[in-house]
Amino acid sequence: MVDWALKTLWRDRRFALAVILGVAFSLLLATLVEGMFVGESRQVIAYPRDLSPDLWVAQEGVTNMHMSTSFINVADAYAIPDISGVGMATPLLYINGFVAHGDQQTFAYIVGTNSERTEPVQPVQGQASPGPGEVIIPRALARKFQVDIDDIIQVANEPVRITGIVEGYFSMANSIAFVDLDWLRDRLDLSSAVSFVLVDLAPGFTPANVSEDIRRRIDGVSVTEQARFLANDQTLALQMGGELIAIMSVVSALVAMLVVSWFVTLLVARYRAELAIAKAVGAGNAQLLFAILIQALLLSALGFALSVACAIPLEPLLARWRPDVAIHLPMVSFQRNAVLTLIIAVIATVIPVRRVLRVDPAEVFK
Amino acid sequence: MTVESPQLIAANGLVKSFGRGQTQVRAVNQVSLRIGRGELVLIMGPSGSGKTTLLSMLGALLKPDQGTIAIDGQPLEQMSSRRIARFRARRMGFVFQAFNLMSALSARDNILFPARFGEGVSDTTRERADRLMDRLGLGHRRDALPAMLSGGEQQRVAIARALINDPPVILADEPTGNLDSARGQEVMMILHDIARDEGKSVLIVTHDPRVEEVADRVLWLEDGAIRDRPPQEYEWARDPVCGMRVDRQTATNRFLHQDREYVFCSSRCRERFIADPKHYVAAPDQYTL
Repeated sequence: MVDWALKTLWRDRRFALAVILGVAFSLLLATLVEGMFVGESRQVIAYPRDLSPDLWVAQEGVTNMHMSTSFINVADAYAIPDISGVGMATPLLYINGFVAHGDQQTFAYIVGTNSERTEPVQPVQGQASPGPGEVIIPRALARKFQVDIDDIIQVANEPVRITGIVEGYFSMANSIAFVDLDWLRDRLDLSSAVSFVLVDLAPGFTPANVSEDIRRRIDGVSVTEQARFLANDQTLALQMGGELIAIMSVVSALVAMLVVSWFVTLLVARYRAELAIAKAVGAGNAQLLFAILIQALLLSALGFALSVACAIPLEPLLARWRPDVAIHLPMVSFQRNAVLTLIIAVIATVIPVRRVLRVDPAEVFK
Repeated sequence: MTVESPQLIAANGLVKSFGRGQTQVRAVNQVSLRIGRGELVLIMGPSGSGKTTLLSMLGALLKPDQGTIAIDGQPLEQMSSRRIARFRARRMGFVFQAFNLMSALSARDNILFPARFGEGVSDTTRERADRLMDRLGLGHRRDALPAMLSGGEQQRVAIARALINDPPVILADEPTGNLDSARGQEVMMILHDIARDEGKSVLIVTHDPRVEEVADRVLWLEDGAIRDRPPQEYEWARDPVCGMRVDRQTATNRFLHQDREYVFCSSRCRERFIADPKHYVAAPDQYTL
């Protein structure tokens, strides 16, 4: 019956193509929405990922960077290098604020840095170390503001000169602007505080032991290993889009399922007489149901394949067209869609299967 | 040891009703019949007499309310629905009025279609399909889709399909109903040869009295029961399109034109007439016998 199923589909190939396009479009839409959230979340964690210290020391209860506020007393921060096992301790000031140019402004994480250790890791055009009254901004933000090196923008309501433009570190939700640590402290009157201390371990020490020592020696701080710190950031970033991704996945699966189910049901109605003939000449229900399942599987699988074939080239195209939108299509999204496709095909056959079971072979004489 | 049954089809006391209560209709009422090997038997009778219901039951497509059917000695009522499907595939061939071919499959694939439910498609069955096509004059139409075949060719494909599993019983429902007289005669001769040369039982339901001459027996069904055939049953008229004589009483293809009813040998002739009645009613008297 497989050849009958395939040739019947081929005979109605225009409709079949429309169905495949419908399935592909709905899966592609869900993939792209997820891709945008994953891309954005990757940008959100790009800076802490690039810094990659062994441990993050923050205000008690703070275990991630995204959307958090942390202040540690400078005296405590300066005590950290003396703790056994700490190879290097680098302070970082990090606040939420606005970066503006003319009428435009965008929310940003403003990072105060005074060390090569906390400078942007991604390639920089111009200088990588901001001095007082200087700023390094992401390329996507520079494009958005239509500014370049030596132009003046506003950071925390202060005019600063752009001395470097860095790749990455930009998402639709926020951006990162790098300024001089002391300059930022002065502007914010935060002379006695830093936000985080990045700890790189001395050789032969484990994160667990050093964390414990830091917590014992310094009150009111949280110490988080790099992997956990990043996972917390990513979870928080994805949480914001998680519901939307889930809704989009369900809606796209439903649309794809309805389209496939409608078409296969239409085929069953259209070829009811042929199904009756098949039963009359000896086909069992299982063979006919298998043929219907093959049709639904083929339509869904081709739709899925088309969505993948479109999504892969769309990723770089979208990045070029809208550099401010970070998009990353994770393999897990394709894997999930592949499983979804199987489920779509099986559920889509429920209604047509019932109709096939009701086909009476005696209809051949009517 | 296998004992060959002398009767390929043996039915006893078949009853089949449709509907319930006051609307119940007994379509087949206490029908018993025996059909032997090599016999070509016609079931005739007026419309609504239960011919198709009887054929459906004999073809294991419809369960009788009462009575028993044995095909080649095997009682159908003891078989599960799955076994009945397999039994149909191996022991019965069907020919339908509307040809009922699979529209997406080529002539050859249509013929091979039941083979997958019988002994399976193999080189042997492919060779048999090719031999059947050659024998039925379809050798040059192997890859043609049904839509590309004439009515006669489609019916020959349907006959080849019925024979592909080499079943002992062939059941045909109005096999000439959609064919003009020449093609109809041709199909009847093929069915006649199948019964005579291959020893198969061929049971044909038909309205068409022209095919009687090739039959070994005619069973007359009326009000669901086999009866003696009424005398002077025919009221012959001539088909205005092809000129064939048609029994006005039993003809199923009719058309009223300018207050006069015309009867036709087939739906094809009727359609031709409807498309251009003037062409066929120029000299109306010549069509009255």
